[in-house]
Amino acid sequence: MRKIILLIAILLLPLLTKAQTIVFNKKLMEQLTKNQAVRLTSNNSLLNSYKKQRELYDKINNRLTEIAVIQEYIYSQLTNINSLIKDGKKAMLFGKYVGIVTQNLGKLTEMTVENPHFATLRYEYYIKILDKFIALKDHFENEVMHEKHNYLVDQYDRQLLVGEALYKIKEINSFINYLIFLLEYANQTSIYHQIPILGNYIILDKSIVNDIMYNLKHRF
Amino acid sequence: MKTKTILAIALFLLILPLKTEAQVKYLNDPSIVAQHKRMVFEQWGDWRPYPKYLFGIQTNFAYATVWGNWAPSKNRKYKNGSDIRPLKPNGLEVKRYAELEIERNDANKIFERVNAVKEQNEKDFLHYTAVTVEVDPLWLLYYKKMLRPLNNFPENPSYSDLGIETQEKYNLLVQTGAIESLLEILHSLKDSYHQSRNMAMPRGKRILMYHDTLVGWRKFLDRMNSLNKKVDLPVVRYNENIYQTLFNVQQNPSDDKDIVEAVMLEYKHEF
Repeated sequence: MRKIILLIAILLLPLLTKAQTIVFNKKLMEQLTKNQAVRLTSNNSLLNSYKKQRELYDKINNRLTEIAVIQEYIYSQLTNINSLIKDGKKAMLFGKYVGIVTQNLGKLTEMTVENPHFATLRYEYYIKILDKFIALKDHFENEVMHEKHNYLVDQYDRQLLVGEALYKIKEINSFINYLIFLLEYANQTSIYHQIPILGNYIILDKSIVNDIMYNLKHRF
Repeated sequence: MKTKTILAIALFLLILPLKTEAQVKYLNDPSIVAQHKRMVFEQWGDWRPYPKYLFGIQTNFAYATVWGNWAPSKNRKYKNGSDIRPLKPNGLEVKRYAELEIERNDANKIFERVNAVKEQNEKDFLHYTAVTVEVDPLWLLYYKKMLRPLNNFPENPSYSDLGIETQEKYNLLVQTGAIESLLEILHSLKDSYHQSRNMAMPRGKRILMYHDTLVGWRKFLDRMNSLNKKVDLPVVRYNENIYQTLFNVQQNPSDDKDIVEAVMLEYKHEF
């Protein structure tokens, strides 16, 4: 019985140990690790390159948005009218003078209706005023208050343009005032002075005679 | 009996670990190593197992089943085909990496260009914006000093601010409208000063605007001083008649000289 058990044990041993056999291929392992290392480095370098590219493109995107913001700012400054100009003193003065001019125009039409015979003698002033009005309107509509994408003016120039418009309306006002003054005193002024070309001749003759008199008095 | 079986089992258990340690099998298969070398980078060729010829006839069974007649056709195709190691010096993967590096280089170039454009834009922004007005060297050196009196001048000046001595003179000037036009100039000058400090415009234009304002301020001062001189003229100060004719006041001539002056004024334009 003892022998049988020993035999069985001895017979069983190789069967049991066969399941535990380890096969070790040293050269293959070396080769595999080498291959894996090379693969990994290649893979990592590819990934790194992609990562760097991605970072670069992100940076480029940021820069581009910054550029767009700056460009937009400058562009808006060139196309829009600044609130400082819109509410500025010159624009307000312009509005005030528009009121004054309309008042004076009413007065002028009254005077013209009252004195048509004198008004016809001053027709060139009326034409001048009309021309100036049209010029001012064009200037104001097309240059000063023009907000369009293809019309670029910086704020300094715009402020100059407003100043110019103010100057022009002041000029018109002074013309109208002068005309009113002329019509008001037309009754008291001699008619020869009021006829456009003849008046000039009279003044010239007067100065010539004046000159002659002076020479007579002091030279001879 | 029982004790002996137990002894046998114990012996078996003792032997077991010893036996397992001894069961490590060292293999050396050069053909599979060669295949792995072929698969990644190291070496193409070395087509193990080699054929063996006996009287001109190939006798190696392994060779015949792997590369020889009995092998599948794709094996022979693989053997006779070109070198397809992906990581050889000019392998597919290496080429890809090189292309990728070229792309990265291009991206870098684009980045540099964009950066340059951005720097230029930043300069433009600083050139345009009103944020940097305080540190403009020309402003600090000259215009700040020259425009300070304008900035400090009161918005609604009294007669003493305008250099007029008495309230009466001031009232006289108010009635003639001189003060109104003077204040108009002052207000538009102050306004343009404010605009030049706060609006976005190119630096050169800003300096031009400072200069315009300065020129306007000097003209304003001249005008103010001339106004003071005019109001001090004896004609304006002492001649009641001129004063009255200026403002259409009812005339009350006191002596002959005044009467003659009034007549002359009345018929000035008629002859």
